[in-house]
Amino acid sequence: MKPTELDESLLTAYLDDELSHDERRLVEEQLKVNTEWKQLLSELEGVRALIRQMPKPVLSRPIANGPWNNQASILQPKIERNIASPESTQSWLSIGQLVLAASLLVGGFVSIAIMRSEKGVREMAKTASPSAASSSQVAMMENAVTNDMPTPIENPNFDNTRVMQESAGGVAMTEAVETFYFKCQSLPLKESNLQRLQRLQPSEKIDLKTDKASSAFRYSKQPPSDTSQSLFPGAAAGSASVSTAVIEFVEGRKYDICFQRSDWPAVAIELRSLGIEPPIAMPNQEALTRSSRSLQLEPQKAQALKRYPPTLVGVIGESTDWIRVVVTVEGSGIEKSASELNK
Amino acid sequence: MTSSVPQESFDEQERLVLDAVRSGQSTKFEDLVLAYQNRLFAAMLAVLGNRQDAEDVTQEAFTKAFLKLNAFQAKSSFFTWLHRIAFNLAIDLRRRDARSRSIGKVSMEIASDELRSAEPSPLDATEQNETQQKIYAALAMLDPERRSVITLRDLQGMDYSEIAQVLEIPIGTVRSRLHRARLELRDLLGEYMQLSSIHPVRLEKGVSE
Repeated sequence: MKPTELDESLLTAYLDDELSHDERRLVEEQLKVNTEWKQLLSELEGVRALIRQMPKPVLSRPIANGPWNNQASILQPKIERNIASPESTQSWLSIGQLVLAASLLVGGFVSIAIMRSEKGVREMAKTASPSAASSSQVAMMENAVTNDMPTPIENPNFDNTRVMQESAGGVAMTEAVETFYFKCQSLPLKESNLQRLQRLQPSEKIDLKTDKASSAFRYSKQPPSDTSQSLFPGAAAGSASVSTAVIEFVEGRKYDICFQRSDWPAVAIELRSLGIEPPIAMPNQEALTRSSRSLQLEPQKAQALKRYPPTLVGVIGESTDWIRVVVTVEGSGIEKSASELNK
Repeated sequence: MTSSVPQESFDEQERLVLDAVRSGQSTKFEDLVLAYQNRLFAAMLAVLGNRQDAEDVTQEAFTKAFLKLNAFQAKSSFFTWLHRIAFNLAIDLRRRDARSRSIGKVSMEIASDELRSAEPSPLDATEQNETQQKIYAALAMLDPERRSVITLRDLQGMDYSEIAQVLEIPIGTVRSRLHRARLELRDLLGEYMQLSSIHPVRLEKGVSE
């Protein structure tokens, strides 16, 4: 019997012990009488042996880092990659729709993350610095959306999505990351202010229930190398002013939010308002599209936002300089300016 | 899946690690990385034919696996699932990257690097290098689908069912692709198969010597 191709594949399966009992018996009967099959089997064995004796290559550098030992690292996109190619931009544009739709759903996870973030900071302080997110991780961020997989914010494994990991020269500065609330409208970007913020006690935090404007500010103890950097886009150099230029509430159903600094690769923005529970988290639209996009809110949330302007916005991501997260204030409850704070 | 560790205990150990990761001990994931990184890399190198791409995809696959861990339902082994992620990434990469069109050429280039880092074998070094380089080149000449199957079977030691899960194809397709791949390699490696017969490799069960 001359083996057909279909029959021949039985030989491969026979070689790999992947046949049923009956098939195996059939092949063995053929092998007794069919010299072509015996020859072919021998050749297939030879091929398999050759492949299996191949050297086992090893990674030139073992995978030592990943989101499993540094969860914040996945929140560190490299902005240059995002804007490098038209394809990339188009990709972001196309995924933006999905992200917007998903953003409302992820608020619950973020609220959990917020509650647990302080713990997360301590835990992260024990981990090594990521030094830099790999290109693979950046690609992962892209794929996370395009493949409809959970983004870090959505993933309940990430209990510290609001936690920033400061790195300077590859050295983890996680211990320096904390959240503070303070009463000010603008904050000159000076080291003294950072130190002042450090000294604020929880009792000095604004009670959100009063509906007074509040802000939170995450900072690094690492002083900025360039004091002309401002906390907010559009703010005068050297100051961090709260500005509706970057946070614009559109009456009705839309809420526009966008950080426009091109060197600010923020991944996500978190929005709180007294009228919204849980907080809303969304990817930083600027990071995604380079243009402002609107978050479509459910009517009741839109109404809530109208009544209670957003009081807190956090940015999750990596800065090319030293600041990670800024929080802005909106509303009429601002009681102290930065100058007062500096007194 | 071929393993020196008893499968049952290995699976249990893996399950414990996965449970730990899911419960928040994310650093435990590194155990899985350590266990599988080189095997996955070897597969990706064979499939992509480019060391840098293979390393990138390997890293990315672990990252993605970690982030998607909640979606892993243990219907297959973690290793199989990880491979599926990696192969999908590799496919995406091939689509995006024009370099994939010259994969054969690249593979020839990397072959010598791989051989330098390989452990010595009973074969004479020069002879061995020549053989292995030829094998790399032959693998690179295969159709990607066939190369994937033979990589998973003969380099990764997966059974047909696992290969079918990774590549999301029927088991019958696995068998036919694997057979064609071996036939093609036989034709490409004829002279070296004679060499191999001088240094026979122990065959697996079910094969009459």
